[in-house]
Amino acid sequence: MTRLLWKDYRLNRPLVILCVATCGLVYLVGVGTQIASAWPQLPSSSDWAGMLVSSGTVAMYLTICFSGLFGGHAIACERGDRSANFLACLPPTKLQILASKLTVSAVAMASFWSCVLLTVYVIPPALVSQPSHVGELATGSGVVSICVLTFGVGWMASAVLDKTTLPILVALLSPVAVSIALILVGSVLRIPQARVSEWSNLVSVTTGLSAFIAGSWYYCRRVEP
Amino acid sequence: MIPVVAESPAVELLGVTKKFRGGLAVDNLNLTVPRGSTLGLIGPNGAGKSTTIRMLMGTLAPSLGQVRVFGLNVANHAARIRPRVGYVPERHDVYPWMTVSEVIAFTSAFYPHWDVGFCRELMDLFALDGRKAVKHLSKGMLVKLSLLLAVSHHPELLILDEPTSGLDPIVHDDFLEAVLRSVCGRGTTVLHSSHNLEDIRRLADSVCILRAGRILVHGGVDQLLASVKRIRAVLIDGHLPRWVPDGTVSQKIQRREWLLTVDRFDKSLADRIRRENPVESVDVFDLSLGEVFKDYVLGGAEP
Amino acid sequence: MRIEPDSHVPVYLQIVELLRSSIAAGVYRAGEGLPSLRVLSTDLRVNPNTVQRAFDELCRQGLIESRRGVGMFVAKRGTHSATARAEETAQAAFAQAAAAALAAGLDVDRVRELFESALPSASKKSRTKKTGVPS
Repeated sequence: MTRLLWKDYRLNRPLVILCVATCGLVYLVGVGTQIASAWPQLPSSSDWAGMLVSSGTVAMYLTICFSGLFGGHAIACERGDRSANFLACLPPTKLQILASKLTVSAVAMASFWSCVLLTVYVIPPALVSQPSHVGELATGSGVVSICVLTFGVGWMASAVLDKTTLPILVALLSPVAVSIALILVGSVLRIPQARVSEWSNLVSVTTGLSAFIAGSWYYCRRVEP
Repeated sequence: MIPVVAESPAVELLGVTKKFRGGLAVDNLNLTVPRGSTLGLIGPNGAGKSTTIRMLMGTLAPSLGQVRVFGLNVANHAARIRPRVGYVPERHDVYPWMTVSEVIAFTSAFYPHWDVGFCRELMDLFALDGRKAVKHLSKGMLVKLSLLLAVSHHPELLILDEPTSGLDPIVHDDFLEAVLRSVCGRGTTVLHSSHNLEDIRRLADSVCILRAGRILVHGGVDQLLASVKRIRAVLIDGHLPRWVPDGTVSQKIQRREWLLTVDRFDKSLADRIRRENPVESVDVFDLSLGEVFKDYVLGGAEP
Repeated sequence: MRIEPDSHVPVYLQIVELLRSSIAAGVYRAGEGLPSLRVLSTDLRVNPNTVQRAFDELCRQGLIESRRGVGMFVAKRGTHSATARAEETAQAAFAQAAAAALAAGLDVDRVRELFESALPSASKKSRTKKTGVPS
């Protein structure tokens, strides 16, 4: 199992590097603008807190893309270079193979999220000794549910297809598709837009989870690697 | 309970059929490979050899019939079968980004009986550089690595799918040596698909000739060579053969010469040809495995 | 000496012939051990089952005997039997050649003549082979 995890980590390493670099860039830009605007003085701690919240929020929205990337990359990447054929003839079961892929993606996503949580919800209140931003907590849960959606949809597309491009694309477009679907349903059933948007979290999580389960089931049932 | 029969054959194909959109790749195949024996699977390209092997490895589902390895149905027990099988595929899809050492470390982790000493022995024999990335290996080196990965856990069943095609003679020879080193004294069952009939002759106890997804002939190599003979009869001017024996695999008439390859040859057959046909003389010739193969495949005889 | 995989002669009989001629030539003397199954199999690049069949055949002919757990040894009268067997093999080969020549339409006297003329050149060849470096 450790070897499988190592292999999946190595497969996902380019993605991890890409995501870390993107996040780093976002925070660097934040720091840069903050220093530039306060020049020649150094920014105050409340400025820092504001900067962390805004950069963190951008990074938080980026995690939607990241989870789509990880989900879409997970299974199809080994079909792309045909190494799935090699793995299929080795002893590990399909369930073990999937578990390892899921673990690596989950750990990667969890570390991004803890980073985001720290910079948005933990450090800024400590800096300005103020109660935390209740409004942004709602944003957070919304983003998490969309992450579940993109990951699940990407995972399912990845389980079905042989190249990573399309699964990633499908994953990234899935939030748009879900919101369009919600708006359509709302207008057809004449439900006020505000009510419909209350459901969006639930719909995203359910769709994501069911796509994830369907993809895993398909992968285990499929005979070809 | 999972049915495990100790004495069940290594491989059993029971009425196995595989349909693709293009047509039948494998057509009602029935084949048994007893434990400890080596079967040579030969046939022209597209005969269904690789399809059969992929079904054996459980990476392709048969449309009909059942594939059993060690008495276990591959469709349900692939995970129990795979640790006991070594497989050298036609295409080597080893992780291209790993180094040779990494692939070996990765693969060995899944086999409890991985033989580190034997693995090192083969690395020396093959002069494999552990630091080299798989994607930079030459075709010959890749085949060697693939074989090393397939035999270092001393599988009970070794499946070779056209492993030596495109190898230079030295690599080819190393390959044969390594296969024999790993097989010797272990009672390994080997299923060897190849276009190289000399390899089949060296390694196989029995052969199975496939064409268009069907078995044309299956039997011991020596028995096959003893029973399939070519007969040359010289026809009397202006006459054609009147009686063609039942087991005729292929025949050809050119001027006075009537050449026929027959299965199940015995002395009385030659006498009967002499008696029943307008011929001046009848001679019998031995055939090499290559000639037997060609006559079966080109002969057009229905299995 | 090597195996001819393209020949119609069963590979195990080719190995029998190979070992028999080695025993007759004194490569392996009476009471000495033969190379192991593993060594012969990998050296000749032949399936171990086939080598085992050759061993069985040589045992049956009385040229070698197996000592349990140790391997194959040349029998006491192995060298002698091997030479006798060589005679049989030669006889069979001549018979086959003669039959082919006769079938091709040559007469008996001509066949005898051909055989006599082949003999001196063959014995010369065999002598150079013995003094030459074995390849």
